[in-house]
Amino acid sequence: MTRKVREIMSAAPVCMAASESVSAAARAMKERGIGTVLVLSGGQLSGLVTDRDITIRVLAENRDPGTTCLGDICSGELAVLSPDDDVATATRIVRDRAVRRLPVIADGTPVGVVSIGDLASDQDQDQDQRSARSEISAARPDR
Amino acid sequence: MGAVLVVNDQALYGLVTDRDLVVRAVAESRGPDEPVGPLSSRDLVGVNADDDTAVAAALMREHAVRRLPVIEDGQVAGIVSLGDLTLHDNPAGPFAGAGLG
Repeated sequence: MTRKVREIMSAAPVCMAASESVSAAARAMKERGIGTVLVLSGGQLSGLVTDRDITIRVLAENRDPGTTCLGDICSGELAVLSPDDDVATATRIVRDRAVRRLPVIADGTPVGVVSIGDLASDQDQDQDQRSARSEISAARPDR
Repeated sequence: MGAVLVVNDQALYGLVTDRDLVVRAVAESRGPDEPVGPLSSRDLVGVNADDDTAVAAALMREHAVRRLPVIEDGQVAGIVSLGDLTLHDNPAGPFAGAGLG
């Protein structure tokens, strides 16, 4: 059975404007229990920012999270998926582009995010192995 | 690398991840010049260097953690992550070299 991206993605992604501060994104990550926010510019997806991006591109560079905008640090050159894409397509893009997360776009609107953990879990299910990593990938992301 | 072990007088004190810095410092308006100790996760679960990888996987599942300090001769010898186990289980799999960790 060919599974579709819509079946494995995390829906209802948190989106923030490129003009919002890194501090605001950090608070959203804490409050919502997420590690990724999608960044919009003029209502269009322009990139994404992860908790790791904040550590590497803000803290490690001595930039002020209160005055640094998401647009200044987000990863551009974004590969995106459609909800109707096959999971195999998502796996190939994650591998070829060496990214860990892909936004899912429908009719120009962000509708989800697929992470490398989602893909690993899906592969485990194919093999009928409920492994430790499926459960841990689904668990709280802060440990 | 997304995790750093925190030691105090050469004894393992805790572990701090990139995410810990974001949700415990940046989200709380705490600056990066603060000591790392209070931001660390304590009560770590460790694994012995000679244990099977299945033991490490079981500990991660049981305690819902993604990283375990590896102990050898009473000393910290390394960290094993969920991503390390995934690649070990399937080294030629679709995520080889993808930086899963």
